[in-house]
Amino acid sequence: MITLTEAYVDSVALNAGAIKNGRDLVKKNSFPLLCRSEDDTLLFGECKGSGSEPYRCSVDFLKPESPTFRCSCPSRQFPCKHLLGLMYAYVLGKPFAPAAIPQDIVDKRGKAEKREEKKKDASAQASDQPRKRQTNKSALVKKIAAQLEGIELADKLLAGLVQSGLGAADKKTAQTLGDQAQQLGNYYIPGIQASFFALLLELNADQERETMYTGVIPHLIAIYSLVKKSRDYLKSRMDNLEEVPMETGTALEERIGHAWQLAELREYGLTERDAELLQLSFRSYAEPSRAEFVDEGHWIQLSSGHIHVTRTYRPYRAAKHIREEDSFFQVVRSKELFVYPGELNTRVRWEEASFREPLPEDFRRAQDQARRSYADVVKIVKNQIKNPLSDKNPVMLVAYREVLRIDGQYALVDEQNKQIPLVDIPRLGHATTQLLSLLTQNDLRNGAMLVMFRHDFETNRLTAQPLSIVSSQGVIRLMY
Amino acid sequence: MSIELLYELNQEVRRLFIAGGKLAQGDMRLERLQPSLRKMGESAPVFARVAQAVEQTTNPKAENPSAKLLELATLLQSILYTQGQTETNGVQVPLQGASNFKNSAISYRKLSPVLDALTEKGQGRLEIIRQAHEDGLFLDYRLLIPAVNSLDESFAEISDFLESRVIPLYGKAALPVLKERLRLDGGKGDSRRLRLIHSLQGQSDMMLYLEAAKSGSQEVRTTAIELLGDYPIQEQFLLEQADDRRKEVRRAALLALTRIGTPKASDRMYEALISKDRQIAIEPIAQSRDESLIIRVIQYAAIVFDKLKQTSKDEETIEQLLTSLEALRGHRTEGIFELLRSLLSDKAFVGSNNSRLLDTAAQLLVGLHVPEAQAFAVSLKDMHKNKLLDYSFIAALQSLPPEEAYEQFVDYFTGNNKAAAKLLLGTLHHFIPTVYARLTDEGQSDSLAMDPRWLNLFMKMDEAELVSRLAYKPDRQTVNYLKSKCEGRFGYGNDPAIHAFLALFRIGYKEAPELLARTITPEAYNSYYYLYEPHVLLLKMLPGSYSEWLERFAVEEIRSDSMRRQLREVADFIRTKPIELQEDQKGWVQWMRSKMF
Repeated sequence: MITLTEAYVDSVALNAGAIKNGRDLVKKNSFPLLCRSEDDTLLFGECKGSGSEPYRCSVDFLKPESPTFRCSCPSRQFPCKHLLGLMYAYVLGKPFAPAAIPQDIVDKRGKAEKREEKKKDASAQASDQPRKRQTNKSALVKKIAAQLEGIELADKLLAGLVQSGLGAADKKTAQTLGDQAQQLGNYYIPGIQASFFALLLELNADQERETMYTGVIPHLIAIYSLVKKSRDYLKSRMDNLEEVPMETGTALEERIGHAWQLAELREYGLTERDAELLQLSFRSYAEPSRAEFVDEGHWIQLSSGHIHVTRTYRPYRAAKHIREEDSFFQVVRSKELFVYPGELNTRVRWEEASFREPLPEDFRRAQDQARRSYADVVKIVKNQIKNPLSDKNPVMLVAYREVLRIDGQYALVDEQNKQIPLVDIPRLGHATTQLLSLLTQNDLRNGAMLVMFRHDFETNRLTAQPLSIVSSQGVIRLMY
Repeated sequence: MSIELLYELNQEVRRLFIAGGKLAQGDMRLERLQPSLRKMGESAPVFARVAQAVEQTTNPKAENPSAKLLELATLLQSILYTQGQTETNGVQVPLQGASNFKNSAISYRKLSPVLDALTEKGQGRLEIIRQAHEDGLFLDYRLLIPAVNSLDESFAEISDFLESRVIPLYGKAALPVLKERLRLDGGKGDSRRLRLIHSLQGQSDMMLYLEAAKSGSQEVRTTAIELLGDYPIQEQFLLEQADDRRKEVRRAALLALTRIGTPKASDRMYEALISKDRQIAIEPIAQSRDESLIIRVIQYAAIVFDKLKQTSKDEETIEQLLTSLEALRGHRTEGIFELLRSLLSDKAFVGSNNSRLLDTAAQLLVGLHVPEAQAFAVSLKDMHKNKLLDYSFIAALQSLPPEEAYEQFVDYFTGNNKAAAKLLLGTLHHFIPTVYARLTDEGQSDSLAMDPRWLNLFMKMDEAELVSRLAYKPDRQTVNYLKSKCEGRFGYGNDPAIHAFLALFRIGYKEAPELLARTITPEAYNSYYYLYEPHVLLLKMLPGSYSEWLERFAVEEIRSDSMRRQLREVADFIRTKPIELQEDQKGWVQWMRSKMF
């Protein structure tokens, strides 16, 4: 049985442009042939393209949870607009004639089946004898040595800049520093290199000197701490590889530049069984220091109340060919949830998941998980942000009794009359506090709000920007 | 207070980062803070650590002073991060909340392009906003504030669309946002906000409109005054505004007074007409429904005319007459015809060489659309050295039977008076809709009925454009003439050849598609990048069977991307054209129009 929905087709499209192009093909009657197999496992058709031959595209539902897309067009976008168009034609009710499955698809299905079997055999063998991943020790020692060398270089660059002072930094200083930071690329420390690029962006930004100083100094401190911590950690690891495992209590490895592989996470036991996640907020932003777009989702794990984060990085250069993530409204159920090392908002990933519509029960569960005491919340937040290497904008779900206006400012208040001031975070460039006054009275009382914290040095205040409200009926998104 | 000390220390650290870590050793200002820090360290150990870090930084014997400075800065920053205050003192007011919005679950990928279109600059925004409106995205409460903010958009098509189509969707829910963002001293955007508030609130916000009309910026004032024209109770206030120092305000007040329509309002407009303010009185009087006011204007015009006859022809008097005539535009009050007849019969008036005055009077006469006026206009054709011949011709075409109009005027086209022929041809160009307009415009039904002999005449005179417009049946002579014109330059839009082709299609010449297909050559298209609408329309008239051929032609022969895309769009269009409509001219055009937007 083919169960396609418009929302599903929207969700597999890489970006909004692809959605439009796919729909336009249906609008323009570009499918002279639309067929479905008699056993309802395959949709296929022909789509007119710019060449003389039409493109043959098909969507195979042999495995309904992960359909197979095939198209004869040369587009690197996958699924291409022809496949999207084919599916839109189906969900928009265009007639599909019953027909026999084309021979080439029968052949391909046969091959896929064989591949599956092989894989199964392989994994059966693997599970017979669970073997630890072998690491080449001498290679690892060599790598760490190179990293330490790179860290020394980073330290020198930083010391040079601090020694001569920011007042003396001009375009030439920035350029020299930029060239030197490029060299950090040779030492397996891309994270530290990215921290330098972030510093350079501030240094080069076209702004007033005083503003520049304010922007650069925190980067100096962060790099200093990063260099120091990384050096201690890597040294102790090099001295004793057997005893000192990879750092999993904090995001230090990721800050140095390690990209965690799922197998590693599994090895360190950083997985959770049968997790259910509900997305509370989503946003997408450009990260110039890494030359990437970041699609970021904040999720609540329904059983524990933990606020996780998902991040998909799309390098500028490949952004067209990578799916742009989107707000997600269903509950994600994952048999195996991978949890990256980190603190309050741990990054998560899943390989396979099923989805279901959220129930009122889910929203209630989420609400119940919100933190009730602001004294505790503030303590937890400060405890994280005081650490130089930690994320300075932790996200938490907090319960509130009321939303207040105090002298033109918004604030949440808890049962003990403690406040959390609500202020937009300038760096996000997306105001949400202005939306509060548009919410209903019901939503402004006794609810749960997902907020992102920020310490403001200028006013010495800890403030938070609202991202979403979890009500008993659903999630009201203030951002996306 | 300890926090102040920390901030002071932070300032010194900042200074050293700017001046350079090399200066930290023995820095006096840093050392000066040392005793207080140490003292506080006695009770709070963290201050002792800070004091120690300061000491290490300023120690002249320390190695690597930059690292020491960074160490101090790190410690200090960590402490400051724990000091953030969360309580705000002040009057606490619980947020009341607003109406019940539909919190539609619109995703990032759908919402963010619309938000960008509303908050950023650049091309293609109107299209996105229109599409979002069509898709119903604007029910989402997150778009309300950006939409209200974008009323300030200087690209008027966007702000117009938001004002007329988008924000009204939110109904009363938009009111608090509109009011919060209304600045009476603002610009056009605030005028729009005020109008929207008025359309939601009506007279219940009268105080706001009065306030805006009194103290707003000129832009907002004039809008508010315009709105007050709905309320006769504001007569006195509007009369005061009509005396305002600024001309724009006076103009708005007069327009508002027109809508109020009270005797006092009419008096004020008349006063304006006979004063220096006459220019801004024209439109209000033209819109007035007060007959007695119009009669006074007619009488005034007659007096001015007398004065003009008797005294010198000074500019002032001519202006007075001209403005009073212009104020009569659109009115059909009895007495206007008499006035115009006396003007246009007067040799001195017609001979005065003031063409604006003469044209205005003649236009008013023809525009009266009453038989006696038209008969009088026709009778003027040979008077005053044919000066008013074009107006006579229009009146004849509008009022006489087609054959009579032809007989009375044909000689001017064929006679020796070349100037007269040129004048009348120009008039016809102006009055007969183009073949493109006839194929696309609703207004084709009320075009003039013309004697068929005109068509023959224009073929003989080789007036190709007029023939294309007037051709009505596929007889041999017309077809042959138009075919001969089809061989002309086949350009991107308004060329005679395109019009001749359109005419052939319009009159139902069966071989037109084949003829067009034969004429289409790569050379004709490869010299352009873009086709204008008449040319596109022509190609769209091809039957569906030509779609493959056109597609192939576009792909194989056309070099420019934009041209190829345009031709392929046409090919798509004619392929999907319903077959039953291809024969039927009218239904076809209607169907096509429905597809255009």
